[in-house]
Amino acid sequence: MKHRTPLFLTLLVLVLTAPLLWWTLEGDYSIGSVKLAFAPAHGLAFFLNLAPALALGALAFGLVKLRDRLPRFRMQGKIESFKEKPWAIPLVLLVLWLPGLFLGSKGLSQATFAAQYVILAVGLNITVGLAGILVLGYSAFLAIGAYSFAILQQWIWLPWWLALPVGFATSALIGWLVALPCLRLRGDYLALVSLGFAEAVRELLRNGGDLTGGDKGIVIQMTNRIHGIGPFSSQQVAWMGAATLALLSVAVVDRIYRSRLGRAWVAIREDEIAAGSMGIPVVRMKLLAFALSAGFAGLAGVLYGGFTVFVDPSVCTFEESVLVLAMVILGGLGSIPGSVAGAILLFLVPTWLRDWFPAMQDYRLLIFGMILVAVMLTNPQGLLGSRRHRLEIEEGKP
Amino acid sequence: MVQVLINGLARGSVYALVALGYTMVYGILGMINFAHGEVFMLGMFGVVFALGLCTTLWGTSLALNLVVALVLAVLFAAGWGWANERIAYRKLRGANMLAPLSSAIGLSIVLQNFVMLAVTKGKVDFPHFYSDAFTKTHWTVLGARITLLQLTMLGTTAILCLGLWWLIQKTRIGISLRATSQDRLAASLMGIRVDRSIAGTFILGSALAAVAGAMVGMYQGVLAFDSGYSVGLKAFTAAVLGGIGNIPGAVLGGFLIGISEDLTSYWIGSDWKQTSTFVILILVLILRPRGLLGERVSDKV
Repeated sequence: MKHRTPLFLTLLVLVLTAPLLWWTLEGDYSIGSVKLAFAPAHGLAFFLNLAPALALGALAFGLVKLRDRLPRFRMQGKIESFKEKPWAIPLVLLVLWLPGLFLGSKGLSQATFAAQYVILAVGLNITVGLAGILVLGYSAFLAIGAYSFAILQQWIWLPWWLALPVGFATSALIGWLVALPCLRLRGDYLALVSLGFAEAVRELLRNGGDLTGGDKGIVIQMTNRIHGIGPFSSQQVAWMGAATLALLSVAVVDRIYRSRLGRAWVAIREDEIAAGSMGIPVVRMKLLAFALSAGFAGLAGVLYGGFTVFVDPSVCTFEESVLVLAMVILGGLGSIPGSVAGAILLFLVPTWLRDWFPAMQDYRLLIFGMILVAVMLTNPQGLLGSRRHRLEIEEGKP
Repeated sequence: MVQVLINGLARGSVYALVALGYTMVYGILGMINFAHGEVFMLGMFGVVFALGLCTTLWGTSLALNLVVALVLAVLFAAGWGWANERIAYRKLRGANMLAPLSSAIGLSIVLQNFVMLAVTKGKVDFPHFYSDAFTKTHWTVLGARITLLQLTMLGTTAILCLGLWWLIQKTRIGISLRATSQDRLAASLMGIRVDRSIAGTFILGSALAAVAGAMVGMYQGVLAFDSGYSVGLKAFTAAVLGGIGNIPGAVLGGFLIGISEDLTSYWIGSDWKQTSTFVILILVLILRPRGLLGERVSDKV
């Protein structure tokens, strides 16, 4: 019986999606009524547009399966820590800066955005991956960082690099305040509170009058934007700044993960009550995780403002939050190399797909949703989970 | 002022019906069925498609078409609720809390975008041939206008809530649902088919959401693929306000959220509805985390 379940479920889904796919509504407004019309082309177009993504998904799934069959030769243990090789940081930085000199304008802007997503994914990984708190409104903190920069720079001289700590601090403080009332509750409340918070922030930004510029947003003043230094163009400087910040975020979070703090978070994620009984200040640790995570989003927000030269409420959308969440989950909860890879993959692949198959643009979120469900059902620890994380999970199994 | 209260009550009755779905699933599984708002939205579209089907098959006839469409939409939404449980939640029942929640979010994104791509990116008008019959008839009570539709919404919600209460308290199905929510293992040892009662919870909640969807479709006159998102968020807030897992609490919370929303529009401005809902959620969590009617739950180790 068991092997028939997938077949049955496929049939069920086919039946349930059929009315919406293969028929279209035809309004008859002379009498204010509607009719149904059979439209096979409509349904076929849906599958045709989705085909490239499905093929790519099948390929990726096959590769993952194949990887599990191969003998394990992992290099993660060797490159993970920056502490053992402190000289690696400037070296990696130089290597990162180099391609900035050769990439074209489009490539540079894509690379800068990818670096921004790396910061976001690594930051969100602190709460979702390490401390096990689901955050659904992460883009709110991106917006808070960007807006705190944009609002302040209207009154005082505040170049983007000086705004970075400001954005970090504002976001972290607000994150701490939001998390305060709900951390004593079960963790899943915070997920929805953060979602509601993001909705409220967007509404505030849109209705904020002159302070937030409403729907139009705020333009960053000339002197405060990211601009060229010496022989480097502004885009090259933006890339260098973004790459440096991304590397710094990765290094900092990596160090924290290996510290007492990181181990405390992992303990809380695995069993909150047990962790509390062992003397870990659970509420304080969770607050710290939330604030730190929000702070990284604020950092990315300032970078975003300095780079795109204006901020508007579209920074703070549910789509953005889900995109970052999908990066963290796909990369592997709690795995820092995984988050980096997830961020780069999930930003670049859809961008390229959009260039090659313009019809696919609208299918982005549908595909992210499918990825989330599929990854959760097949490997809940994520696709590129770290070795330590895998051990953490497997050890707990009876 | 009376008008604002009436509008708020009508709106709240919808939130109450949707909140019931959240609270029942939470009561039985301890997880937030994030895709519930989307089932509500599918119910809305189900009604319009079913009305179209009726018109195509035998023409426009007010009462017959509405009844048939409602039944079809309820079946459609219930099917989706069941499919959701089978696909995205059943396998993850024993897993860490994060896994079912993430897959529920994924599912809700998939459903929302599926409707966006398969039906339309824009809005669909509810066929006003049917809704006019309900919105054009109205009475004046204490200087306020109450339409037949608002009355229907309140009446239907009252009947469905009583029906649900009867089902849960007085029937064998209800006993198995309650037993499953108390202790899944013990229930299964007593010969209760746990899988079935969980699937039943999803089906019941989805059916209620479909009825709510039909009424909102008529009330607002338009439906869109993202209609389920904000209603879902507010209904969830309602469930938390009343005490999640508690069925009378969900109904009370639904009405309170509905009224508060219309009061916000009346006093402050309709641009601030979302913020007022959020402020209420935060205040409840600070002042009375277990909700208005919720019991204190201790953590199980």
